[in-house]
Amino acid sequence: MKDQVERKTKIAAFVCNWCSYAGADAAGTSRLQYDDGVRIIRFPCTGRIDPLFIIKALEQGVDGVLVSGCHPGDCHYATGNLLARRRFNIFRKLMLFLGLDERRLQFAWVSAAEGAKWTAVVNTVADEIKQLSGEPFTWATPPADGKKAQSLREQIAAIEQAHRVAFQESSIEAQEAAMTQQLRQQAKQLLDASEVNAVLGYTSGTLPQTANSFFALSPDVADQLVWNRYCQTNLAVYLTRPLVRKLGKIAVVVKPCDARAVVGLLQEHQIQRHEVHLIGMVCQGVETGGAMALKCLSCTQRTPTLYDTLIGAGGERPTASSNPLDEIVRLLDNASPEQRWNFWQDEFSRCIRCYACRAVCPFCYCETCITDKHRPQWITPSAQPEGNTAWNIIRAAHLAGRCVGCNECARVCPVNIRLDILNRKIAIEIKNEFDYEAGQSVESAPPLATYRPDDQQEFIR
Amino acid sequence: MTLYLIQEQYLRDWLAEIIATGRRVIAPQSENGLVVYREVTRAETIDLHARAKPDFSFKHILFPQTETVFRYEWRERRPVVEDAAAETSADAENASASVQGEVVVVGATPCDAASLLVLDHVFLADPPDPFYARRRENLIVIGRSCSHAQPECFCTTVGLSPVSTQGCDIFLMPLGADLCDELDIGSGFVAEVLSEKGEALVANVKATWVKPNGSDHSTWLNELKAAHLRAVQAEMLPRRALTPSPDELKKDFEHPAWEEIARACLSCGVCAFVCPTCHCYDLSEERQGRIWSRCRNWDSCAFGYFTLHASGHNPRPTALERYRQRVMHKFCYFLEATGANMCVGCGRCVKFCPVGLDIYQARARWP
Ligand code: SF4
Ligand code: SF4
Ligand code: SF4
Ligand code: SF4
Ligand code: SF4
Repeated sequence: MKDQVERKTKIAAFVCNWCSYAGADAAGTSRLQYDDGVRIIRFPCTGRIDPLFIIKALEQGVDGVLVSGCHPGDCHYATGNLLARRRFNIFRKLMLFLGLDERRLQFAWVSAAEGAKWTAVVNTVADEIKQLSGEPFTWATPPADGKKAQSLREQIAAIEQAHRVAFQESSIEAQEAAMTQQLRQQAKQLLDASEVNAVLGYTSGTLPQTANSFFALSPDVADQLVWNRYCQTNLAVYLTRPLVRKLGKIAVVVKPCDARAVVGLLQEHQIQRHEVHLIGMVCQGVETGGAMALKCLSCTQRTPTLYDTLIGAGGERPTASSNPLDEIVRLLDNASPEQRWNFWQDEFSRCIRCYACRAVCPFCYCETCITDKHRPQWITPSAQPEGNTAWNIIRAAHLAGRCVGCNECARVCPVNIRLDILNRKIAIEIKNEFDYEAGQSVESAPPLATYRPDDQQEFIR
Repeated sequence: MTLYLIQEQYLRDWLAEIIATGRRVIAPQSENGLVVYREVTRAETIDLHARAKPDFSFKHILFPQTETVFRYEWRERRPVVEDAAAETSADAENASASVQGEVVVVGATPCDAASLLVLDHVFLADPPDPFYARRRENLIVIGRSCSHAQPECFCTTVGLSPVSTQGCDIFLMPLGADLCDELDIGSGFVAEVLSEKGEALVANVKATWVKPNGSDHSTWLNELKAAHLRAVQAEMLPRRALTPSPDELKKDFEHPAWEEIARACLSCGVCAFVCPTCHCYDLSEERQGRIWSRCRNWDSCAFGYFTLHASGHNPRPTALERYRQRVMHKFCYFLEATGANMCVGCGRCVKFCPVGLDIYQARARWP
């Protein structure tokens, strides 16, 4: 009677070699007993434990993951655990936002001397996971029809509808025409004086109400440049591309969100300041689907943080009374984990793995993306729920603290997966935890590449 | 070819009957803000007067995005290949689309139907691809004329049109109010039955489908189509027809224009994923527990990894070589090999390209 045998709860324990592994060893030598469903995997340091490992473990069928390392101050490598603390804080919030039950992903500090604590932690974690359900945990299952989180989707649509702002064509068109003239002038000057070898901006798209990326390599084509509310692409993405690097120094047209991406690239040493001339545009917002883009409704910047030349008259945009994306995040925060899980599984199950989200993201400049690696294969390449979920989580995790909220990924996703909501959630948490906003200053350290001794650690046992 | 006139209600009854006989019926449906070809279970939900073409084609019915070629398990240090007939749940969707009876696509646009000729050429060439061949044999396509063009449409420049019937087993065209009055059939359609598969499907509805009076129908049918074409073409962007001339492109393989065109390309691959005629795939091995699957997944020539050699050499290292390949394959190599362009002018790649690259414009630099 196979199915009457009690199913073992499988827990993957990722531990650092120097403290928690020694702590587990101490528990063993003291003959302390703890749950035998736990499998210990040893790492040099918690700093080496990539969220990928956690994803992979859950995907391959463990019921829960326990990450454990040295107490702050005890790290064998001085700061590995302090950096890990920040990363896991955010990663955990991401997983909870996706609807993972918090009992399935737990953290602890266990020193080499704390055999008793190790025993207690493992037993508590095992007990909590056992309470969850008798069923084995399934990582990615697209919700059955009845559970498709339809009501959440409708509520999201309602929030968006309530915030819908259409552009006043009469007033904006004149402004766009004037800025286009200034921009062409500026481009000609820069090209004439050979200050730059190209001006990267926008030109009218072949389809109505679109603008395409456009490289003006000589002053005589500068008149093809345009500026209008359809100039959506974040051109910062081109700055790391080989065919563009080849051009040498170029001028780039940037909106405030694009300028934030340039700041990020400078911060991450992907480009150097003298290699680009930034033509900052005073931004009135861009248009998608006949109304102002969601990101623009919540953006308070009109003038880019960083520019060499400014086009258009300055003045800040009045602060939006409420940020629609934040409202959507709150709506999901208040839903039950199960509802959230269904919502996101429904989103991710549609992913066709085209990687357009990656291609348009200024920060996805990795020469080899993790999803392209297949020895070992971290992310399965098929467009199936398991791999789709892993892919979308890991991309969000890699962008944590770096994403500037340009929402290009969400705009170009051909199947409309709500990557903007995911990114916004992480940005909110980064702001709350580390008082940091991406893309505001070249000098500040990226939040997940640094730490403070007193960083929040309530989530760690 | 046989010609019929049908009232809309009878057409619906017939579709309902097709569903009732257990065939899978696929038609454009809206889903998460997109219109896509999906299985329908109620004939009422089929939009016979859709204004726009679906966002994606029905390529996935014949050539799924992800498909398990076979599965194996490691037992005693040896891979044991699963019985090919054994189905697991992940495969059920694929399998049911393939083996169990006919699949009828209703409301295929002329561009989507025509894309079948391209896919057939690739997958049915010797030796035929067994997965595709099996599904293709079971596929019946009921096409429809387009009543409106969308800004991205350019089918008329590549030898197709809103009324072309290539790839269809049955082709439907709505009749104007005046013709309906004249023929006294309320609101209705004209159906061209173009193949044996089509004939078989209409075999038992002949009571409600009437053959038009007289013997020479080609005149009024051609007039009807011409009028239809004129109306739709008026909505299209002014674009000249492309000369099917592989040599023009070929001689300019090294032309500096390629870099100029491709510089804006982000190599994202969306164009291939939304294209009804793109058909490249990648094989990969995936593991779930102890079971391994060899999967085939859509791929795109825009990706850097597409041509990466094991040695590390990549003959198409940048967007330049890759975008050129895309245009060359569609308008030169394929044309040379088959006499037809590998593009049906649906414009989806233009509409979905994150930076608005327009393949027609790129191609139209040459005659
Ligand atoms: S998803 Fe991660 S690994 Fe891939 S390109 Fe983006 S940042 Fe790099
Ligand atoms: S993750 Fe998306 S929103 Fe964030 S920077 Fe990248 S493209 Fe922009
Ligand atoms: S753009 Fe959308 S469909 Fe494409 S890989 Fe990203 S999330 Fe998936
Ligand atoms: S290349 Fe573009 S326009 Fe041509 S068939 Fe493919 S998606 Fe349609
Ligand atoms: S969709 Fe556009 S940017 Fe993406 S690969 Fe195709 S042409 Fe390049």
